[in-house]
Amino acid sequence: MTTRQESEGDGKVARSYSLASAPLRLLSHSFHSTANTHSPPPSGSTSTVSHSGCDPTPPRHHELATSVSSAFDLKTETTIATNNCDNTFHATTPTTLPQPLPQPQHHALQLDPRREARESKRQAQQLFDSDISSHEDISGRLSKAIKLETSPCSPEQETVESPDRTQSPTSSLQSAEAQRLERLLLPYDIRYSIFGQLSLQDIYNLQLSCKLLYWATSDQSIWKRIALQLIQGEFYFDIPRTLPANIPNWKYFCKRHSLRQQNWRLGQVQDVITLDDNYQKLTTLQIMAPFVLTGCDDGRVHLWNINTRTLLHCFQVKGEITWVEYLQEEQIVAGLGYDIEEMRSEIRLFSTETGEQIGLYEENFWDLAICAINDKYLVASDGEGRYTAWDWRSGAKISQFKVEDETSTTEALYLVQDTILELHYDGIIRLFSITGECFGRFTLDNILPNHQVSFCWLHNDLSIVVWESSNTMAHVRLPLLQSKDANGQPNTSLQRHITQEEWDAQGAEVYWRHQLTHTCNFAAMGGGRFQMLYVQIFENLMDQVPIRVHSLRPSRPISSLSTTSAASVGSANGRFTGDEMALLSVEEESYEWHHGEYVTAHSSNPELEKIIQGLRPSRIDCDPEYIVVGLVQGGVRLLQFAPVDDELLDKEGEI
Amino acid sequence: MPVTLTSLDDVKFTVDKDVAERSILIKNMIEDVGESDSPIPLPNVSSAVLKKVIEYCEHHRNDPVQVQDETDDPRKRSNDIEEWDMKFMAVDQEMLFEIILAANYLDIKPLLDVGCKTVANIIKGKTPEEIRKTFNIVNDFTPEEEAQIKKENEWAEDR
Repeated sequence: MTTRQESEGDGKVARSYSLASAPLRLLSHSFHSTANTHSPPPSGSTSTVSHSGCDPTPPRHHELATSVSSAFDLKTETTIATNNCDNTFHATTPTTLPQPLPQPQHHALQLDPRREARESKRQAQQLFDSDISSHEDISGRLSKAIKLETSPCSPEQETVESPDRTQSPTSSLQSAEAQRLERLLLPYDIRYSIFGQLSLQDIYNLQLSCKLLYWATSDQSIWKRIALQLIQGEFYFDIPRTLPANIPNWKYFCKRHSLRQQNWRLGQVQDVITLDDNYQKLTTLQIMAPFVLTGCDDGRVHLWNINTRTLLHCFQVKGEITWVEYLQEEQIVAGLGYDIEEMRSEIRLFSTETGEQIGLYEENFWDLAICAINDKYLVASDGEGRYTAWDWRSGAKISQFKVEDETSTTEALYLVQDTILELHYDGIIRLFSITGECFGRFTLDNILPNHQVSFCWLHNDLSIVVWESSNTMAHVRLPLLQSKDANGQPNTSLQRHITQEEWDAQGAEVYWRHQLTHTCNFAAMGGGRFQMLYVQIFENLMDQVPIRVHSLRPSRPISSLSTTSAASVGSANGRFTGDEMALLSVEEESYEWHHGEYVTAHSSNPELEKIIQGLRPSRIDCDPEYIVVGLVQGGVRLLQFAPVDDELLDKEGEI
Repeated sequence: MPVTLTSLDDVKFTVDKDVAERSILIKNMIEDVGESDSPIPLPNVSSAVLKKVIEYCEHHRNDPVQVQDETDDPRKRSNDIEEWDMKFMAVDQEMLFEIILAANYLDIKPLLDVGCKTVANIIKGKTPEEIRKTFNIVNDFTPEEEAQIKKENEWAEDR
């Protein structure tokens, strides 16, 4: 049985599992844009990449960004330039929705109550008028702004919103009500308090009603709130604390995210990207954005950067790769190779910083079948109860033990800090410490009647998705493992004995169970919590293999964020406040699950479609952005579901 | 101890200190000025609006003061407007806006929240045309601009 390992983005949990499965991961970075780094070849949308051997290449998208942005005249929106917006980040968006000038008189009104109200308002108007005298007419500017895309905005702007008064020279003709509305929407706090509560649909309708409301609903903080609503359904819960580098503003983020979700639901592939063709048979494949890690039957381990489409590292292990793992924070790649001829296994560790090998581990038992690694330990097992554990930083062997009463092979192995969690083929879960002390042995009998667990994914909240041989997938929650400490924080240490009584009382429960309609022999999981996707393929060399995308959705819509609040003025610096973060911890019990129909990955672009139908996948993995496919004949392809950025750009910014 | 507030149009209102201090602005002014009998001028608030604001503050004088806490769980805050507040906010649009502006100026967060929520509820579920009718505003987009916005936002349409 071959194994493959997977690490959490935050390095806390590492686990291994059988080759066929892919764990759920907390992605540290799922919003990379790839379109910036390549220009599609004229013949079609497939992009090819040339890799520069083993040398890491710095991301090229910054260069591209600068050249593209200079092609647009950003000077039309001088206000933006004066507000320190970083325009070099992105290639895609020239300029702006109306981002108002920082307005001194706004503060004047607030801070000095002793002024005559009308007087201050008049003064404000004068100040503002003089501000704009050097710019174009406001309504003209607004018109132009509407034609152009949103610009990146600096955090400071969010607190210093000023009215883009749509009072053109014809303002005297505006109705009293309109003036009143405008006056109401002048202060940022009020705008945020009103519009921050509205759904995306309502904001959309507001934007269409008139220029004032278009402007008023363009605050970044409002769009950030909508982004939170969109993300709220995501399994990975990858909440960007600040805008990802290649995304200029929150509205763009929402758009891209929304379109991506839609594409997943429809199975519409936006682009097929070739990562590598220089492969013999791939034995392991995993994606953990922005990296792809592959292992080959000749012992090569490749680490790719998706954004730059370059090969970052090429490592060599002796034998056929049966497990690889990449720990981003610790900057190591670990690979397990099994040499069939010599009947020997070895584990090698490499540093991605230096590119050098930093460790070699061999064990007496010839079939090191399954491994796990985390920031402290490396654990290897033969799948039948023999374990060896090392402290990989020092290279010292920590323990070697045999766990008794093995009833079946270990399907999956996870390392949660100092505790080893095992899942067996017959549905037994065992927990023991790194030194072999057993904490508990439990069965999933009552919820997995078919017993024959083949695939397994461990999510970072310690729930697992298992696949039984009856073609049933079940998402199982293990509340005992998900205990909370005194502060209500999830307890990530499992170092305690769990009795059978405790287990019987609240050991495991099933979130959902789904009978797949087609048999398959490989699957991966990724996507979103409330839109969970998994992909299945049937490895058959002769036949066309459709890649199926299943979605899982709540049976009722996620309620909109319930808040009225202005506490998020603190979010002006671009970070989510505790207030906002609290909104995201959804009570799982409040959702019911049901499976949507599966869709088959396809494209409406005939050339892409041809390519997709011609794929012969042998390995597959996915994350919220891509399905990564390892081909039978060698080679890796990325199927992209996020909108291709140039297309996104075309839709906006046109006059 | 009573406090005197003077509105924009020079009307004086006398209220208890704890009622007046529902407004953080007034609270800070009182602290700065110290013990004094002189009325507090509120030149940004007309008497009609100030009367309403005082009515709100008097009704809510015993409410716990909301602490500006970053870790405050918004789920604990009730999403619904209580009945008295609903009746209180059943005023014409002009007064509603003035109340919100006054609450913002005077820094009375609960009143601001209720007012903004009322406006949000007015907006919810309305088409652009209905929004225009409600606020009596004109569609000042050119057809091209309108098409542009639709195109820009069409991804939001079916969510």
